[in-house]
Amino acid sequence: MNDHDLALIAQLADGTIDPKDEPAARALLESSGEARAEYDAQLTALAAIRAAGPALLSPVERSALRESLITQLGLETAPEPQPARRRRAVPWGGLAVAAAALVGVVVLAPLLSLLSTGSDSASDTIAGALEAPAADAPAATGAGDAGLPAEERSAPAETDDQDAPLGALPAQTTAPSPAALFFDGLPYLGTIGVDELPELESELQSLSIDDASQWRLSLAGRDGAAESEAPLLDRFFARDGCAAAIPPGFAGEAVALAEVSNVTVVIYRLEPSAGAGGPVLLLVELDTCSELAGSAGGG
Amino acid sequence: MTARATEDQELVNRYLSGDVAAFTELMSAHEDRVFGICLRMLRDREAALDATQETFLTVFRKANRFGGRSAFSTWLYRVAVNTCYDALRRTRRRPTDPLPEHTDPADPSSEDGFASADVRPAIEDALAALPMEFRAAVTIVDLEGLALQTAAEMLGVPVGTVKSRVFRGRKLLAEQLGNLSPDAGLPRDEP
Repeated sequence: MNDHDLALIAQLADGTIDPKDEPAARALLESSGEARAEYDAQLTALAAIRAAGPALLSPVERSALRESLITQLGLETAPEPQPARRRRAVPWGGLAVAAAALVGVVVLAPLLSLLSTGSDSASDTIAGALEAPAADAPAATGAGDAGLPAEERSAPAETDDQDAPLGALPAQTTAPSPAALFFDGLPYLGTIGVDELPELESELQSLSIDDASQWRLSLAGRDGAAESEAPLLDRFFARDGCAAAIPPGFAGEAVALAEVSNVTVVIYRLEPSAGAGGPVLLLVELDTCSELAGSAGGG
Repeated sequence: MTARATEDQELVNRYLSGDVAAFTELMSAHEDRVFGICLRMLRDREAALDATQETFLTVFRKANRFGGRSAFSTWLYRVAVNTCYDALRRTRRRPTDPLPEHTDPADPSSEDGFASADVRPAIEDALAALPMEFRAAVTIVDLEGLALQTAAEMLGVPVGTVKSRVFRGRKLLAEQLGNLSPDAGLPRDEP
């Protein structure tokens, strides 16, 4: 059964079908045993779902959850009212153009070369391209946390034992780890728990990514140019909505996920097939399934 | 913007201004749904409670960076889904950790059907057999009743993809329910 017919049958079963499509759906039911079976399956599932009822916290669990959060967030005593944080005005248009240009020159060109050739030399070029701007384009590194006060930009990643009062991030007293640098300034950590930072650091180091700031740079550059570059890249990864094929000859796993502004990215480690060189670490924007940047690795 | 979204935005602003009551109101509005998503995705009450707590910690700690591009609830539920994905990924990475052998609720009072309708065993087991992306879509749309557009934003996929996952997920769910029924696998009496 094709997707269209399946959608008709499913929407007929759950009552969301457009009235103008209902005759077609009912005709399909009359004429096709497969459609009838699909309709019955949808009804069976919906009946079970409706019978399941809501999953609710018990009173004890609810109370414990709130008490724990209040403690960990430091809300036991009401803090002094303070004005809501306001983002500093940022010239997004100019930043986007600059970021697009930067990424186009230092990331996309060698990346496209890699996509077309898959050669080791292209991978090496990418590694160099990613490293070079980190030293001479400091302005671009701040895009991921643009609009935030300077003291926040240098704050290390939060940990569970850093329960500072609301709005007061802990002062940085030691040199941050590469992993902490990587996450510094991200609006929030989508799926990375703070307890995984050491693990991620180890992963980055095992991939010879000992200077995570280069990834921060590439993320920042991408942040301002997500829309304009997405159509240029047509390599997709089989994760969540990225339903198209994994690049031929590769297998791998997602090792980290994070949010940069409203763009979800995944750090995807690829394992080259035997005898093939190429990238071992890629950034993929999950919203569009687009590859953002690649790094030379073991190939 | 819906009334709920507008109210949430105001509550976030009040929370950022130091109004602890806003914290309680936000929790009351969303804690059950976050927990429901986590319970259905993780299939373990204790793990779901942990994920729920982690979700709210993340969101409240980062509330001052919530840009308001989407509804607060969409952001919150997306963090919840991602937290659950992360928990599942950690479980897969640490195969030596013992998996829960039962799904007894951590809190005995939660067995009270009125206070806390738990996930029914049959549908829980059937859901568990679904691939993660289908389980998430069915949980969010059918079990939690969130809109397709919201689900799409939470999962970071197009609406059409959500629809497809829900429809195909239901079909798989029905198959699993059939396999799990008491009669499954038993020879049928001949007429």
